[in-house]
Amino acid sequence: MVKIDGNEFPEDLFYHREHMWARVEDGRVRVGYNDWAQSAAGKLLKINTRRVGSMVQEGKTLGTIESGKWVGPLKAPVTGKIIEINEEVLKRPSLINEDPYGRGWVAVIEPSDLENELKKLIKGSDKTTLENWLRKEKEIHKV
Amino acid sequence: MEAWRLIDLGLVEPLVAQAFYEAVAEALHRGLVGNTLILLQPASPYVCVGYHQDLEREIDLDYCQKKGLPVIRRSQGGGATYLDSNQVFYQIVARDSPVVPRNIDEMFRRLLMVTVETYRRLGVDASFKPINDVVVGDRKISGNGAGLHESVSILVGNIILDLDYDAMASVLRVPDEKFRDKIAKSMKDWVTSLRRELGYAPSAEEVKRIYRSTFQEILGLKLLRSEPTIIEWRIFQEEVKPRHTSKEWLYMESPKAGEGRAVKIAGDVKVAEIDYKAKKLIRVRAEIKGNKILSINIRGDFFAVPKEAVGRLEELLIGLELEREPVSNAVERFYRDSGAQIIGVEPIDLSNAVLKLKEYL
Repeated sequence: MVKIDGNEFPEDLFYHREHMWARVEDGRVRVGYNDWAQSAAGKLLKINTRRVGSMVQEGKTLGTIESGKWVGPLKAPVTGKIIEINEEVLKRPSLINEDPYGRGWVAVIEPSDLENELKKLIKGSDKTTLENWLRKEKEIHKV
Repeated sequence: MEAWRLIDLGLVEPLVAQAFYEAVAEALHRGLVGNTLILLQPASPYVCVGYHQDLEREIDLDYCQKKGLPVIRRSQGGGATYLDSNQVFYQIVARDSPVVPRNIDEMFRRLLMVTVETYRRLGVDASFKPINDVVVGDRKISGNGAGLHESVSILVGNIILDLDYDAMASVLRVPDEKFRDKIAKSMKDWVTSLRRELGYAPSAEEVKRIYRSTFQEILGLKLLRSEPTIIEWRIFQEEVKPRHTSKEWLYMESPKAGEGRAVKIAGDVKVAEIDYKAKKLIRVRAEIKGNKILSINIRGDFFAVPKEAVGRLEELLIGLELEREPVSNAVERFYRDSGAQIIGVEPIDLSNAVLKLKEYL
């Protein structure tokens, strides 16, 4: 577990620069919203996602979230077909705040170009890159 | 000094009022125009639902159709609202400006100081209430939403000249008229307007004049009067309008709803209702502020001996935090002190029913 300014980043995950995490499981990719992003967003009140069976493109919209009248995007960290959506999170989006890497997962994607796209993501074990990226994000968002 | 465009659209049709700024945001993202402040009033009333709301569940579509009220889904969050020419809208669309923080909390704080000061210059003692409210005392007097469109930051809000509370409540889909009355009453308690605070409504022109000058002073900008470009109107006609009028957008699928609902009134005040199935059905309605029960009503197909006993429980619950310990204690005390019996309902059922409201807040 990498801890940066009070936010957690498990080492076994990959991190997309648009704040989604990705965990590879038997050739599929489970994805969710990272700990820093959920704390910056505040309590999540609503969520909407593409449907099971939809194709999503890396960096494009997988869904939207809402907190305190801010609506923002959830960007897909990898390209592929959505094969699972977390129904529990659809009913209670604040699960993402409570447990972003566990019960708060958002979707499972069957990837179409996993090997190449993982190279674009930040490895959880690469603390230096994670810290540098997060520092820049905080500068941009002044958090 | 940074110069922004000022586009005063005047009185415009509902869809332009609600969505034209999206065309501006897209044009700004493409680098075709500069940072922009839009001012306008809706020429006619309409109903606006939040981005994630379930249209058919929240809005009385039959009523709206009869009254000729357009229904528009906005790209910002929050709850359903009835809007008309008694609101002056400001829509702030900016990219790469030191004046507009990219952080949402800071953006609200900074930009809503203009709204606060505008109200103060109109003679109302308004103040900012985090995250995104402007209040007079405890009453909300401006609704605001924010979002990002690619590289562009957006904040939209209103200066409220007057409010039609009954119309606001009438457009909502509710289980019965008592619930609607409760919503209207709660709105009167928690939302206010210039007419109500001042005894008269200033003209929209005066409001816009003050807002413009306050905007420039507080943010240190210069506003240059402008007209929308042909490109912006084209983006509106070809991209924004088709999206907003499509069934896919308007009837956007939302997660399955449970056995309850909540109507956000203002700030942290909500009117909520849930159904809880024990051996008998328990229906709980409450007005909640933050996590505190302001008023509560418990009904169902159980029966109580004596029949007015439940009223005593309702009294005991008022003012409590909506948490297990205070709620359970109140229920225990109710049974102990009153000696009442509620057939088909256990004490734990009453506690659980009341606490189920939390799932919808």
